[in-house]
This record gives sequence, structure tokens and C-alpha cells, in this order.
Amino acid sequence: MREPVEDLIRQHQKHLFAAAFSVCQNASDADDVVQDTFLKYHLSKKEFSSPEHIKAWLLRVAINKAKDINRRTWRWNTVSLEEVAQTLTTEQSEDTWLLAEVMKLPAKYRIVLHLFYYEDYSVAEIANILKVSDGSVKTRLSRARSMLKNNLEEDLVYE
Amino acid sequence: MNEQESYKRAFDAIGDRPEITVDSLMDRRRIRRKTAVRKSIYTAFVFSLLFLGSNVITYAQDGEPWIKKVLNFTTGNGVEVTVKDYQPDDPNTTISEIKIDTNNSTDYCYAKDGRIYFAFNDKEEDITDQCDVDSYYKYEYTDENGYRHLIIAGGTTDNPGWAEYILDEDDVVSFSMMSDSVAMDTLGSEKLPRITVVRKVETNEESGNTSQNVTVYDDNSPVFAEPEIPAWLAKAENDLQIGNHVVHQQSK
Repeated sequence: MREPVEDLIRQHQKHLFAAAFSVCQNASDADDVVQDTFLKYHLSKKEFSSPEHIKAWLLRVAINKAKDINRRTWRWNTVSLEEVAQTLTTEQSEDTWLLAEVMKLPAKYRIVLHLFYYEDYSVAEIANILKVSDGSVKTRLSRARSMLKNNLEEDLVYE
Repeated sequence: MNEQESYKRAFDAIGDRPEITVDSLMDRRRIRRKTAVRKSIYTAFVFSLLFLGSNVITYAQDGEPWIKKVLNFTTGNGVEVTVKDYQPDDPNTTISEIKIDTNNSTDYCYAKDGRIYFAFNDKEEDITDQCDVDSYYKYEYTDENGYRHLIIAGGTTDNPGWAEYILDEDDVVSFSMMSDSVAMDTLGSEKLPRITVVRKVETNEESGNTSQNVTVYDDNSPVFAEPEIPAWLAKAENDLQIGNHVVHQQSK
């Protein structure tokens, strides 16, 4: 099956942007990734088994494209709170704070956290999207949450 | 509120993103295509074995030892390629380094006003009637090094593409590259213009059969997955008996 790209844009643009942003941490690059992802779908003749299959494929493509951007450009591991807040326009300071800490994590941990926290995917589904083993996903999730917890606790100590 | 809820709330607060329409996607493709084709020549090319065999010329150049062969050539669309073959101590292993300069490259095949054109040496030919999803146009020439170049163009006016194969004196494909429309389903990540190929020949002591492992590196990491070439290119490779010599998969 295939769905018209216009429908997919309506349904998934924001999701793809969020996933891309979680990887490349830059709104402009994330917008480019999203457009390139939909363009690839539009030009492809690939058939899919279900709407969920389409979404998983779109996310995989977007994440890979975002990773490519990171490989091309040297990026610092830290992101300013201002950049995150400007893009996500969140009004809750604790949300911005949490996101800033997430954005400090290595990309491979951010990606699994995003797919787990935001997209509500299971470990197996994340493994399928990223083409890694279930074990790898579990390890990355565990480490990501551990690092996040340590970072958040450190921030609390210094407040 | 736990971490997940807080994370979701933050990302749910994403403001409106720029509107995307099919027209804007196609405009983006048209604008990027020229650049993408140039980049894709060394980001999306399918690699084959570099046959050293008995065609070994041993010399030292620029103070570098072990260089067995250096090949410089410019393709019909202006891509400049330099291939250096090195022989390390292990006699069963050869290392090839390829540098590709696409700064002066053009597109062999493109769609214009609802037709498909093939362009070579400032000449333009309408090849629309020969191209389709599963049919192709073929062009051949021999360069000054004596290498035969086979250029295959095909596809539809919505999605034309091309691939070029360079065959050595034994008619074996030694190098190939393709436009981004052909390679859209590959990893597609932008690569650096220096690519290293390590080819290791192993002999099975019991059977005496030899096998070759070829790994393509870009910055010391495997680069390519299996590209899904379009039907017209698969047909061309089959008709022209060049598919067997083209290694489409190169990763450990």
C-alpha cells in the first residue's frame, strides 16, 4: 500500500521534525531533513504493509538523514538552553531544562530516548526502526536514562 | 509529572513548521539536483573490483613506496578520477585509493519539457522513446587510456537517471558511478572524495578455490549497503553482461 504524500505530511511532519531535531539539534537542518524525507517517499515506488510501516520507514529515513548532517558538520555536544527553547517554544522551565539535558547526551542515546519517550515505541519497534538489536536498544535506553538522571541530579546540587 | 510526560509536553510545544507541499518538494528537487548529481557521483557510486592481476606497473612516485599503479582519467561528464593502487606487505591484499573531483561535472541525462535528453560533449540527443521504467539507452566511448566507458540512461521523465561503467582492457568493470536518482535508495550519506578499497584474496586450502573480500572504507568505516537499482539499470546490466562484475554490496 501507499498513501498520498500530502496525507503523510499532514500526519507526520511534526513527528519527523521532532525526531530530526533530537538528532541534529538545529531547526533549520531538521526542516531540511523533513523535506528530504518526504521527497524521498514521494519519488520512491516502495510499497508498505501498513500505515505503521510507513511511519516507521519515514522515521528511519529522517533519523539517518539527520545523522548524515551531524557527520558532515562538527557539532558541540552541548546545546544552549536558548536554542532549545526558541525552537520548542515551551513555557515550562522544567521542560526546557530536561530537554537541554537530553540534548547533551550523545546522539545515539537521544534517538532511542526520543523514540521511546515521544513516539511511545517499544524496544522491539525501536530496534526495527534503527536496524539494531533489541539488546542494543535496551542498553542505550538504560545508559541514557542513567546519564540523564546523573546530570539532572548534578544540576539540582548546583542550584 | 515524570520524565516521559515532561519530554512529550516539551516536544508537543513545537511551533508550526514551514508548509510543505508536493510543489515545494519538487522545486527543492529541481534546485538541488544539479548539486546532488555532482556530489552523488562519489556519494552514491557502486563500486567494483580493481583488477591488478598481471597489469602491474611498479614504480615510486612522489617518494611514496609500494604504489603499483596510478590511473588518472576524466569521464565524459567532467568527473576527474585518480586511482592509486598500493601493495602492502601481505601479498594477498591490495589497497586502492580513489579520489574523485566533481567540481566540473555535468549530468549525462536529464528531463526537459517533458522529454529525456542525453548530453555528451556539448551534444544533446532526445532519448525519450528509448527510456522507460524497464528500458534504457546506451552510449559507448573509449578514453585516451584505452578504457571503454558504457553509459546507461533510463527511467521516465519524472525520474530519469544514468550510470556509467568503466571497463578495463579485459572488459571487466573496474569502476562505476551513477546519478542520484538511481541511488535514491542507497544510504545516500555524503561521503568524502577519498575512498579506500581493501581487497583480500583468500584461498581455501582444501578446495583450492579462491574468494575475494572487498571492503570499501570512507574514514575507516564501511560505507555502502546494497543499493536498489531501478529496473532499467538491472536490465541493462543483465543484457550487457556487466552486472556480474559490479559489486553492489561492500560492507562487513
